[in-house]
Amino acid sequence: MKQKKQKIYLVQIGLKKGFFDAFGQDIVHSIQELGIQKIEKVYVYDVYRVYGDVNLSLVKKISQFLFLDPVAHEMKIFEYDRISKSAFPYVEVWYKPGVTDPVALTAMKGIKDLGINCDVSISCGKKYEFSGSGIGKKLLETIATKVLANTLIQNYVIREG
Amino acid sequence: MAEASVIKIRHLEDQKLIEISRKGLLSLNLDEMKKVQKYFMDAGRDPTDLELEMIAQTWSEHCFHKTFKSKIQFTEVSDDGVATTEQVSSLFSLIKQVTDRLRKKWCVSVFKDNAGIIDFDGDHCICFKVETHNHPSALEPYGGAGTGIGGVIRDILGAGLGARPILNTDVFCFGPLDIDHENLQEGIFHPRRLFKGVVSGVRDYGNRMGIPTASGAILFDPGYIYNILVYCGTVGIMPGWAVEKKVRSGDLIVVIGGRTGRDGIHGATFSSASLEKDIPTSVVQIGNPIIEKKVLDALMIARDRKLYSAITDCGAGGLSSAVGELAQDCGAEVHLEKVPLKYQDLKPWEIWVSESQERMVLAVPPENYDRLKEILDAEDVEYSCIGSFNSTKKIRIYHGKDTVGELDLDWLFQKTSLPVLKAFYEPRKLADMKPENLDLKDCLVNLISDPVIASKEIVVRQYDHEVQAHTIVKPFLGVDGSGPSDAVVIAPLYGSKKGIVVGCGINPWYGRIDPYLMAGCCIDEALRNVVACGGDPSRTALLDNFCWGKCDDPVELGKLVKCVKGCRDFAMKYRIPFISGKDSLNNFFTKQDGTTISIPGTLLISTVSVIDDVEKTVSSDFKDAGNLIYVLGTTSEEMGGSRLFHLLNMEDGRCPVPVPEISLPLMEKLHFAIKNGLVQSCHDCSEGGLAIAISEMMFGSGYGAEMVLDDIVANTDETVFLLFSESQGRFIVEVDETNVEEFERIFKGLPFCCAGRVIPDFRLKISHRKQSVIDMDGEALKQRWCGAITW
Repeated sequence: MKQKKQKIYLVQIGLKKGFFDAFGQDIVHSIQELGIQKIEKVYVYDVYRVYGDVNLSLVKKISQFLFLDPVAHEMKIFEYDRISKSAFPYVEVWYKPGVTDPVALTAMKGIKDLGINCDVSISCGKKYEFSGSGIGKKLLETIATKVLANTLIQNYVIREG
Repeated sequence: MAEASVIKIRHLEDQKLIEISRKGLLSLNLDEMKKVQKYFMDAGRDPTDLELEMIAQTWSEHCFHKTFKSKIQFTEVSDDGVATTEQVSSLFSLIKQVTDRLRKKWCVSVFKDNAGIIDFDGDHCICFKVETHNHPSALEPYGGAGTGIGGVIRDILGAGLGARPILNTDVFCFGPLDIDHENLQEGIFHPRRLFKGVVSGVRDYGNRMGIPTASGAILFDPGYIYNILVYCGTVGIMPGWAVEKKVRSGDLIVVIGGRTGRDGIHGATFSSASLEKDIPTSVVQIGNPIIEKKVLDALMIARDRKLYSAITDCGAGGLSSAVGELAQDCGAEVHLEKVPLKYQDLKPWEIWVSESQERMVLAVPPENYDRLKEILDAEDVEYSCIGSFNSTKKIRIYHGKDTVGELDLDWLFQKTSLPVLKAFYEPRKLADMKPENLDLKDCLVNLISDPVIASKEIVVRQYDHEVQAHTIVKPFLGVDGSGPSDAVVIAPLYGSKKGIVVGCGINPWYGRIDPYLMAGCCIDEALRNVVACGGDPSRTALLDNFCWGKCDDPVELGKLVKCVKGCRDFAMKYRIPFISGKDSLNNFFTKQDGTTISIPGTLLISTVSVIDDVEKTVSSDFKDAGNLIYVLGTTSEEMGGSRLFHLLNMEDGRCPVPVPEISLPLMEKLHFAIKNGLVQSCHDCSEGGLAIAISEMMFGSGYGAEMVLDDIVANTDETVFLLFSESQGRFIVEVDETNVEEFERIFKGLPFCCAGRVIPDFRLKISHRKQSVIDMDGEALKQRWCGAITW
């Protein structure tokens, strides 16, 4: 029997253009309070890793029903190992393994409620994209530890764009 | 399958015993380890890891409150230098004395259950509990504060046979929000990050549970940079018959709600130790309010159908503590493999002491179990029967076929042989201080924007304070909804005007000067708060919550003893009983160089008062121009620990001395006046003094005030004291001219004076000895007040 390689999908949910991003604004303030003025804007996304016995169309269905508010949000789905280079530098924050992830637990229950009976796991996190000039790794590291992630319970991933 | 391991302790020397306690994060001292050693020598075997964990958890400061139960040898130096020593039977007994002596008939269940329970209307009871969640909130502010409120809500669900939560309260102490990032020690979050995280955590948990969060306070002081304080309280209502619970032999042990994981392992023992830099991930819990909401809904149905005989929450110490407490007088057999798990590789001891959230433990008569299951299934709540209660006086714990623990409950819960602690207290030598050459207008502007005094609306508005639709006096009222209330009034039963008033008092700055007087001031303030809104002082109950520093230091413990004595003496004089309390000790931080920083000893007094008619309450905003403004109570030169002295960096001075002999009758009369509709608005005079109280009454109304200080009943004629002294027992009251005669007749013989009038212009005008001392635009003041705390 052919062993299928398990795929991981990354679902990214962000505000549509024209909506006021209060959360992003708040992050900018918090960064400025650190004395860092380089960051002009922060785009905040909810991100979900969906993996297990799933394919793209199923992930789309799950995301549309459970993650997306079609009025205010837009959605992108990536295959995890094929994520293209981002236009902006960003930081992703995820719970460490073993830490309770209530939203993911509710989502997995939601999948069952949708009548989808397959073996699927979800973890959820946040993604923060930064616009501004001269944003290097060290700066992102400072922002990640001082504002975005609590390293006691969360891991973070930095991409310099 | 993971198994329990045996830990050989029977032949170990003292040094090695301590090492085992330290390495295993057990927080047991040598005496306790030796007691454990002796028990197992008598039993002829070595303990398992699970047994050691259970003992450590049961005996932890957090669960057993060693400091509050121990005898204390207390040495006190008097003002003239004479030292006297006395034996204090225990701090807890001092507090309880008040309740025992006052014998209020409406105190239904005090100091024994998860919460204090008082009678409400003959058919229903009100229960109230306040907890702290300091260490977890310092490490993970959002999760820590969320699980703090989640935990105290479960205390209410586990009080008696379960009460319905109707109000959450919260009080936070942080470091100053504007502190420089550079000055912070590594591993410590900036106060602003803690502030946002904690507020968000309480907000999200309370709002998602559908419980109004409507009462509280927020304090800022450099003493809380290393250890923040997060007090979370919940008020519940229950039918009178549901107060008593009793486990019966044969009852099934049913755990419901969340699954068990590695969350919060060692929380109970950890919170009994100091904060250090390296902390394991597992001590942090993350809350899931949606699960708790389902548990709440299911429990209320099951309770009303009388399907279980006892209930308690899984808090600190997890199943070990919950099952242990329920089994204390009978015995139990537990099968750990039946506990629903989040993941499979948990060791038996981890399952037993895990502090995973949203779990409750029920004692269910076997014949009711099927009916209970139906309700739990319908409400989508997970459950499992993990064993049964018996009458063996032992707790036996199995994992599959293996016995992983067996302990004698009488031995485990024995109350003897606590060490005698030593405490020492010497009063601070204080210089009388008088501020001179001040610009009073500057003082007022700086005080009104002092974060302790400034508007907390930006925080309060994030909480849903009206869900359940019975909040009568809300945290902010007035024409544009920005006037602060002294307390919150709730009418918990639809169709009934009967209500409760909830307030609080806290002031660590007085405690720095005199912890005994701090206790009196906190009680006076908490009582003033409820009375100012219409509460009845003779139907008011108190809760005490002590957060203290390093209590194995006799000097810190000495301050605590003084504070507890203050609680006893002043509560006795105000004739109000304590119904519940909690202490959180060892709030100190160990720096890399080994020095420790303790928090300022902090006492939170919460009050709940039952009133007959919620329509006979008042808010603090002025109601109409032309009305007269009365000042009740006496003003003295009491500015030690005041906000003005804080701004001026003056550390000495006399702190306020409460005078219950005058304050109590004054409050009784005020309650009578409010009840009879003679009062248009009322505000208590606290931090910042009279000038601040009057400004706050203006902010909610858009009216101004014109005040003359000359006739105010006072032991001083210095303007600065009249304006900003924080003397206790004072109120500002607005009275309609037509009611003046009757109002004045009521207060005859007590200190009061008509000191001004509400004016149509939004302006604060104060004069003294025929000279204008303050003449300021209300809008400018209000902007400073509203804009001081930003999100």
